[in-house]
Amino acid sequence: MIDVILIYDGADGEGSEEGGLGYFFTKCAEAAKNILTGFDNYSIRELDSTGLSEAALIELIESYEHTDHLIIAFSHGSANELLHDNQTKCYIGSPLKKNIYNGLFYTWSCWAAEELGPALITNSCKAFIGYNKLVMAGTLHTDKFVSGATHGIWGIAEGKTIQETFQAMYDNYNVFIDELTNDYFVASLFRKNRDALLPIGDLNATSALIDKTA
Amino acid sequence: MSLNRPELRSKLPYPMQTNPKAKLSDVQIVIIDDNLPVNDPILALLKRHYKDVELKSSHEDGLKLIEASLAKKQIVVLDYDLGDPHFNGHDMLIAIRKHSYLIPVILFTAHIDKLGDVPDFINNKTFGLAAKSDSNAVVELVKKAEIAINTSIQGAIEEFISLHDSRKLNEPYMITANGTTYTLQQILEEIRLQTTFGKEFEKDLLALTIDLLLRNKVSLK
Repeated sequence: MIDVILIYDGADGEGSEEGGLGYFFTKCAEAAKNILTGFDNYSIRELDSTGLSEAALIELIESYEHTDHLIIAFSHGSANELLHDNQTKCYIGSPLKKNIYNGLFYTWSCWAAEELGPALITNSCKAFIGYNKLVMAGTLHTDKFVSGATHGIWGIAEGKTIQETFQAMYDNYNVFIDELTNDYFVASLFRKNRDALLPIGDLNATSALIDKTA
Repeated sequence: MSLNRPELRSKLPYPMQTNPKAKLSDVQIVIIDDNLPVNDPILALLKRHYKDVELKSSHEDGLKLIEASLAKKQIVVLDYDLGDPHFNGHDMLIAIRKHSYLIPVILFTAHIDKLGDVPDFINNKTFGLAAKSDSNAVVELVKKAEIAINTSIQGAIEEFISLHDSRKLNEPYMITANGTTYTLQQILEEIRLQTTFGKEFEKDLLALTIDLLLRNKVSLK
């Protein structure tokens, strides 16, 4: 059994005049659940905006008998943190609590692959897939942006290596770029996201490493 | 003076080799000059190449026309001395730049050697400077400005966005990482004002073009 902690900041932008990405994060979480529930051996526990905090996440992780989770996070981020509450609070960041993020880490958030990803690897995380620059979502073609953000979950669930999963995500972004011949502006956003994608850690790691039934 | 009198053609300042069947450009030329006569040769020369050449003697009328024509390709030829001691060509350039940095502005003046605001003209992206006495030089600058408009990424973006109907222009189009939503109209304004966001948007579009070329998804043929 692979234990998944699915984090998403669905309330992002609520109460803010500028709006936010809460709708998008929620769609990504739904897509992630749809993917994983198609496989027999995934058990998912969610942490959404209402219960999200660093303390709540640590408490959830420590409620298991192990620390080898697949952590999936859809939220805003910075180079060394993942953020919630309209980007005012951090739920994972420096200094990292040691030895609790020992599985695989997958995130769609800005910048996190720049410092947070390497810090997680140093802290015994086996592998990380995220983005090391600004990532963008469109209000048009939302299904494609959600697909782009969640495509790697297929690879992990199918037992592909992190490197294979990264390549599949990269190729998926290319499919969207090439399809959008009548909307180059949106295609340019996919190009931006594609080129910010980065796998870190053991690129040969697969979900078998964190499968408690294996 | 009629331009059709052969004996006068040799006296005209510009070579009369223009092909009468050549298509006139759609770029709108806006000349803002408080004392340019309507029969000035510069107007005749420009009308040989451009369908729409407008002479405005007041800066207010000139600015109104420029604002109303933002969706069109336009080039402004601007006199430095506008006959108003409180508002000169430099002030007009600043006023134009409040709407768009994409409109080439050619400054012409009888006193080119007396311009004191040259660094600020450069910083506000004057396309060129010409002496009023040299009509040919003004026309050449206008033609260069037309090429610049037609080959710039900003011009292409502006044209693409302007093709959408007004309803689409004001619908949410993209969301940035900090949750700010932009409509196409807002993106257009950011491009025109050459803001950080506007320049980043252009850069991303250029990066896409290079990516498509490198992956052989488009070609230059």
